Amino acid sequence: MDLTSLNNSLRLITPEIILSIFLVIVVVVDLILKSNKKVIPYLAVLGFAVTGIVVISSLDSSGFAFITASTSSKQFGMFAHDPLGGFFKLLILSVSIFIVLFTITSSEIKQIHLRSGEFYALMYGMVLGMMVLVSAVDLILIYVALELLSLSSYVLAGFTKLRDRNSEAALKYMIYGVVSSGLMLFGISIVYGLTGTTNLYLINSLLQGPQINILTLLFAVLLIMAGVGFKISAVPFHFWTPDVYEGAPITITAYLSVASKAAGFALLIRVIQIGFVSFVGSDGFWNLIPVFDWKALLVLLSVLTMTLGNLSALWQNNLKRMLAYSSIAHAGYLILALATLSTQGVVAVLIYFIFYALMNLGAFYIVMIIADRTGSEDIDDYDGLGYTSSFLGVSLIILLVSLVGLPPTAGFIGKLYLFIAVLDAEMYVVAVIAVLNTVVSLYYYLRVLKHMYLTKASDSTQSVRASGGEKIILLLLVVPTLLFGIYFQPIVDFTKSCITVLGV
Amino acid sequence: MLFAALSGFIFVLLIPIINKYAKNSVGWIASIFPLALTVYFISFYTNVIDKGNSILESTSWVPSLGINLSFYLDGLSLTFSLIITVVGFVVFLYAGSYMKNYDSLGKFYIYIILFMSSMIGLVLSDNIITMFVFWELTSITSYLLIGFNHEKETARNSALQALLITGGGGLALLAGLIILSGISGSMSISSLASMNDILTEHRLYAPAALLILIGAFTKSAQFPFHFWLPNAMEAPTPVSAYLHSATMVKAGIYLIARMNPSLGGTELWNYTIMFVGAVTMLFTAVLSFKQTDLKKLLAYSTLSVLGTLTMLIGIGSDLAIKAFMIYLIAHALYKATLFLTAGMIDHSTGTRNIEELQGLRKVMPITAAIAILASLSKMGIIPLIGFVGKETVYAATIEYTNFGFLFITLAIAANIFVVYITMTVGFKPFFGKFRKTPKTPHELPFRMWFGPMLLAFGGLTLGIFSSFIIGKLINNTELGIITAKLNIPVKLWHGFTLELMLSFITVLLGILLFWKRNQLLKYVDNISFIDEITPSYHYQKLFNGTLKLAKLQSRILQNGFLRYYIMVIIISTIILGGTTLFSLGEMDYTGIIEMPGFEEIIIAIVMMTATYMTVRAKTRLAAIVAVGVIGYSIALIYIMYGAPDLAMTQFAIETLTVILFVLVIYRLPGYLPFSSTARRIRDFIIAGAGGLLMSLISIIILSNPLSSELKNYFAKNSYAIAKGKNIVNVILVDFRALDTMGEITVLAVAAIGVFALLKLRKGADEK
Repeated sequence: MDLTSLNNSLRLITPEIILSIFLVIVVVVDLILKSNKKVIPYLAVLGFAVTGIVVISSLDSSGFAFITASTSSKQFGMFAHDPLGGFFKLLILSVSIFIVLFTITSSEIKQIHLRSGEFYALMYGMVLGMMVLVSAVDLILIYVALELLSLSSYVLAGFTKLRDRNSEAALKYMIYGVVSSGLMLFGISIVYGLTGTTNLYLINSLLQGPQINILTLLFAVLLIMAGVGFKISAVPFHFWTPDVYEGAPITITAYLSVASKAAGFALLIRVIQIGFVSFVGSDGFWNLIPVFDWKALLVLLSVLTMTLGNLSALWQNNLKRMLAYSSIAHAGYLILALATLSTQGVVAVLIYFIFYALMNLGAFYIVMIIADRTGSEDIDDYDGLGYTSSFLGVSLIILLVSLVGLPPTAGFIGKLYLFIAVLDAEMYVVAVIAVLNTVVSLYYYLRVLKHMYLTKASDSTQSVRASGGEKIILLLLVVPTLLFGIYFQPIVDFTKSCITVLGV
Repeated sequence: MLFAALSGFIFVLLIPIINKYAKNSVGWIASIFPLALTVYFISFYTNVIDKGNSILESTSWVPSLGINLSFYLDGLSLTFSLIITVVGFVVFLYAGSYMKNYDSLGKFYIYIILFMSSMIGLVLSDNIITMFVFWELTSITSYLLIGFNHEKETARNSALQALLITGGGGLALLAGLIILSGISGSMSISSLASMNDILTEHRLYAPAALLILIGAFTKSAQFPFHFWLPNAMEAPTPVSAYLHSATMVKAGIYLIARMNPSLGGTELWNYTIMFVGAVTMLFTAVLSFKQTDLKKLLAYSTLSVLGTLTMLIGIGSDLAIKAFMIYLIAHALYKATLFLTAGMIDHSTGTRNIEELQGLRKVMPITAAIAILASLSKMGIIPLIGFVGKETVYAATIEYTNFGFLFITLAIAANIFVVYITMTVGFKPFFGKFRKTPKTPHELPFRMWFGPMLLAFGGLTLGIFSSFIIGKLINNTELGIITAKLNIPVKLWHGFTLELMLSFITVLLGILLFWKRNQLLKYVDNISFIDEITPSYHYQKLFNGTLKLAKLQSRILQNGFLRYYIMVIIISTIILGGTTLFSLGEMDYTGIIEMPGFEEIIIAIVMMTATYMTVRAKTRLAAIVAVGVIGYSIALIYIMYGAPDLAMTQFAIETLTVILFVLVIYRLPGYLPFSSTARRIRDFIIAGAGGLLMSLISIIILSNPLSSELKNYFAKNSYAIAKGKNIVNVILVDFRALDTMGEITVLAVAAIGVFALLKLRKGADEK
């Protein structure tokens, strides 16, 4: 690699470089400040914001960094700088900013404020991993990014060490993660063995050739799916999710449920779209290389994931655990949209993700605020809370209604686009399953409302007051949830402009 | 119209302010709003009804998906809008007095105004998605309203039940509507009407129609979804009067009527509607017999009427549609009134139990007069609108050729029960000897009886002057349902006809049923199977069953043991991989497997023995050492196949792993063999299957020569470009020099880290 191309490549990964610089700054500031580390989270927000601005400024351009492969007409790198990646990067960065804001008000994180430098440095590690992951188009880079993301999150899941559950969560997460990524690595090596390359674009052109051993490829893809499925907590790779979500600090749980899932989906979209699509039809449907039945696999995963997620959420009394299962169910809906293997499906996934991020973060934040005051995440301790603290109550109504996917909230628009994409692809049976699942989910989300509004507060219920700062953060999530339920054209337009790379 | 549909969402913002400064008159002020809307809608009367125009207004919302805020006003939507606003006015006024002791009266008005606006939006919407949005909004607001008396566990559960059923049905509706728009390419309801041929002949017609009907049936509480309505009677009475008789439960029927021109005309559509309606009509009427609660009785009679209305659309003849419209208006007027008077009785006496109530006419004369007037309409006594309604229903049913006889029998049977209910609700409390009630009864203030009286007299006026007040309205409304304008005049008196005779018989039998109530109840009480055939019972079973299943599957799958989780991953991989392996049919392995040499056999035996020892080991140390032996054997294989560098690495790693393990082991608690034999066998099978699968895969991979461009590339270029003979060295220091530098840096950083950790550790020890 000569220096000019290195220079060009480095220019394309400016956001990641800035992020790395801030990572170092956070560590250094942490070393300098002895006891008062209040400035670090704000520094972290600044870093994410600056990176975000850089991403926005280069959102329209596209190109490859670290050229490693070329065909006669085109050169391909390990790292694709394009609007799709830009979309996910913006999403991840915004979510990260919210999470840092959450941690500023979280009592869990306050208790470990002496170690907060490490905490935010690890968060930066995660973000860096995710940012690289959403742009990676080379299996090796994908694996490295995934590991960076995972290793940081293992530590963060057990970071507070306040309870035994905490450490248990981290350990389970790590062992489970190691097994999944081991399987994935094995799959990658088989793909390399079959094609002689790790670049997704080259794999695509080689798969179109004649002499590929389909069975081996199939097995390799299944193994790679183990790694991806772990990240997006698709059934049967989801087992860690409830235990880890319940045990980890709420801020990290919220983070894992949105950001790291988004990165996983970005990866899945790229692997399928770059690796396996031969051409995109004019109607937006993808024609796949007939080496692997992605549709069957995705439909199977999605039905299993949403059904199991919803069924398990039904009887949970711990809200964090319930939200964990609900996030599994949402992953199921998202996989279903992807299973349409169409551009509309991907648009639906992206739109859904924006709204999902808003409502899920909001719901977790309310659980956090309440747990900080009452020390409980139990649904019974929410009795009558809608009356004692009406601000939180109304916010939670909006967020839960949105999570169900009922109008007039953003969740409905997300579901609407999703259903339209699925029905467009004539997948009627799964659409009906998804509708039934939504009905099931109606029950457990509303159960929370029932406790908040229709059950009388017992004497032990404490009144919970959100502080001014918490209210502002919450409004930043709740107002868009409601607003986008009514006026969402800009979101749709923005999303559509971001997937031009997929050939529409 | 955009403003009319959305004004409620703005008006609602004023309620907290009004509630703060004028708490006592919030009911008065709030009721101005429906009154103003009534006037607004009446102002369209000349244009829509006299001239027969329909008005379409559209504001773009999501142009890319074709979702617009378009509103359509024709006879059908005008009729519904007027019912919503007029009954709304009465209920708003009434609730201000009825609920004045509630702390959260302001909240009640917020919910009910939101509900009313959603309802108006629903009947005015011309876009299917906009309509769905309003549809679900009515479900959500009604949830909040049903649950308003939240002290009771039953109220909470029934609120949840109502929302689960109507909300779930709503989602089915959404799916149906999306399919519909997929077929037609249009989201505008009014434009669908002209596409009847295309829609009904499409292969997806049946699922679309059925999904839409499921939505409508759940909302309008048709069999088998009817049970949520009686349970929803836990709501405050004004809510029951408004939502559960006059407006929300009619939304499903509105939808069927609205979709009738575009989807109707097929056997599937008409028969489904007709039979579901007929079953609901009779079944719910019979269920009413055992009830003793005033409101539940009214709820069952509402159900029966809803069934009748549905059946009439299904019959679909001109006369049937006319009967539908008259009956709809009549029912809205008398049923809301009866609910409100039931509320007045409850308010005044403190009970709704029919057994405790009698002889109230002297204490509550006005209430009695209103209730009796409404009851007469409900029983179909001349000259009230209910009479015209029932006459027309009978006429339409008799006229129907296919199942006319069946349906008229069902209709008469159901109506006998309706008369019975009316006797019980409208007459029994007021006549006979006065009995002591929990509270001392008293007549109620003007605000409470004014509204119901208005409605009751409305029923009388419409009955007497039926031809020129609603005749035109109905003629134009039918346009919305069957696209052909008919000119069947609406009259009070048709002469001595068969229908009149049937009406008479119905009333007589109904009164007889009421007379003999106590004797009959003794028989009925002994019959318990009725509980088991009601869908409510099955709903409860399904509900509990789902919860149980949910618990069971999570107990089994999500049991908290990491080893099981990993086992599931491995098993699913084996199953997925294995099935595809076998689905490919037989493979030819003969060319692939060579006869192994002597050393290889020795190594294999060593490895297998070590594996056995690992599994059977009594201590951890032994197990780890045995695993180490396996690793060393693999390294030996590397040597034999000419990869000494790889072998060296393997040796180093194995040694290190064993040492690390040994270090850790001493900190672990004692070794307990916690696996039973059965578990060991299970584990053996899983492990064996996994191993077998991997071996097969490896063989298949080996049978394909791997393309390795790298090897050739480096072999060719390492000397030519980099002037080095050792390829590995050249790659490290030349081709991949930057990477190597990175690695060295990482190692250095890691070493510093380890050094720092060791120093820290020492510090801790010194303390």
